[in-house]
Amino acid sequence: MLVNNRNIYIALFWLILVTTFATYYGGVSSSSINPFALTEIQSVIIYELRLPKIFTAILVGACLTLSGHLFQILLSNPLAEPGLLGVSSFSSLFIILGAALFSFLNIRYDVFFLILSASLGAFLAVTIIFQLAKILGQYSSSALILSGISLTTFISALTSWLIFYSENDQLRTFNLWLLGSFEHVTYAQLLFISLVALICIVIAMYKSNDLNLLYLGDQNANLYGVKVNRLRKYMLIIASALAACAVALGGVIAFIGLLVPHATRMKFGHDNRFILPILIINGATCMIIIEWISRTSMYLQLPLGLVTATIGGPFFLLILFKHFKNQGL
Amino acid sequence: MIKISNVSYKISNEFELKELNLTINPGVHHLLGPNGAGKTSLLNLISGLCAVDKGSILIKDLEVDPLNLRALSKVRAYLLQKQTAHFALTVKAMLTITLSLTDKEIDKLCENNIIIKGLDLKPLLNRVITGLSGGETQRAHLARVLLHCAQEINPASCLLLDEPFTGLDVAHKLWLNQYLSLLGECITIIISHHELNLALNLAQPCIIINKGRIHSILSDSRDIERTTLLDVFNLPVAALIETNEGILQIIGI
Repeated sequence: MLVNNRNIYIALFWLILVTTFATYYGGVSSSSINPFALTEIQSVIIYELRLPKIFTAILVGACLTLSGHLFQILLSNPLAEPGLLGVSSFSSLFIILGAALFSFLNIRYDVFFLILSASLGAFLAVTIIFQLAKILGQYSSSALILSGISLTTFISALTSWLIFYSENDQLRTFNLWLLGSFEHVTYAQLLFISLVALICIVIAMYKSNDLNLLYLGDQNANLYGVKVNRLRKYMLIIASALAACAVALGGVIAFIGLLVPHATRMKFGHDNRFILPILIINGATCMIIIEWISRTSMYLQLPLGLVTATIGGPFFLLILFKHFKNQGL
Repeated sequence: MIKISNVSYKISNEFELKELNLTINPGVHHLLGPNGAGKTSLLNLISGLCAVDKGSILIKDLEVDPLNLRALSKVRAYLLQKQTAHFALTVKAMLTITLSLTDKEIDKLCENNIIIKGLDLKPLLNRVITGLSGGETQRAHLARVLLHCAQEINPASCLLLDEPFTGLDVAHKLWLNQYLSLLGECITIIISHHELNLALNLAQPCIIINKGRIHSILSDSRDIERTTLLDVFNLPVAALIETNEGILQIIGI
């Protein structure tokens, strides 16, 4: 217990350090700010421009990481991830469709509806993947991933058609959801989405014992008293909602949901009672770093999806190699 | 004690368990039968993993039903025939999770535990379950199940083992037999396996099933008759010999 508490404190320490660093240090292309001598314009930059993005990064990182971890356990597939399964792209498509519908009906597209359409898309994606995997063969690992890939392909085709027929203005919005960006996030959105995320996180932690037993396979979990089908159904809703939260805030950001849970499990073990908080903190830290890189490394803002994909691709390959060597992660 | 009354369970159109009636008292029971006789299905039913179509099963006074899995998990332990592992948990993590203990408590438990010692699990504790050999995997999962119903940890009353000897080397097989005989003095143990010579040697109760029906129930496994071996297990006559003590044995296995 004691040792594990220390790990959480260390993770928290890193999170705070990285947050402070990302807030004040400007890197190559943007200006660094001395926190002890703020001018008026600098405090506007920090409170209006940088902090909303950093808070968004914290929230998105936490949501994506936990969501990825849950998907991996629930689908008993170490390679599952909201981005890979098509959950993120489906919910971003639904956000775009929702926006189109609302502007057509001339209603304000509130943050509540944003979340709702994102969650709807995420949940629909999970349902479709599950049905496909069931038909293909007993929810097996490969069946799930393959149906996820086919779904992602289909969605990307659909979004390509939408982009093909869209006007310039709409195109920019599409790009936002497809490549990931923390621009335009307001404090009100942050507050609402963090509330939703918090509820999901608390539920996941409450169920950590049952989730632990899923590591041993459905039948064994059943034998230890877990109602597996019910747990899977409810936790998949939670995982989809978390993915939807992340997409609603920052669009599709791939690989974070895969890499951070893996690295964390490798380092801190598999026991959900201890790693869930560490996982969330680590996800937030990583996302802040990625956001900082995208904001400061060039004279213009890089899309977040670009940064994660660039770093994530090689890392994913590394995990794959390890996976095939050890027959499991 | 396990009470099975009028249980039917349809697996497919060709195969079903029909009208099973059994009362199993504490002690070690061997569940014998050829491949596809319904041994695993019967164990699945007793454990509550599958729901019966008709009839009822009681463990002690608890009705076996997929609806009260939580209560069932306290009174019985079940070693599945095949284990699935998708995640690289260490053996220690597996034990921590299934026994709901912390790392320190498990360290303390492993120091002097008879099961950990008997199965030589100490060197495996920090290895990952996806990287173990077949026999090592079996030992790790055996330890998990045996610890689950070790009397000082969780006084369960029923232990079900589906082919526990698969992959074990001779020394561990011997230890397991001795341990189970000892444990059988206080709880009900059902072992499904194919080690007929072992059963023929031990004076323990056995249940022989064939084609989804109970063929015979014997209170002493040494009483298994020659005709049973020939009919149920399809053995050639030449494979059977009788030792000087009058015990039947199968040669060549």
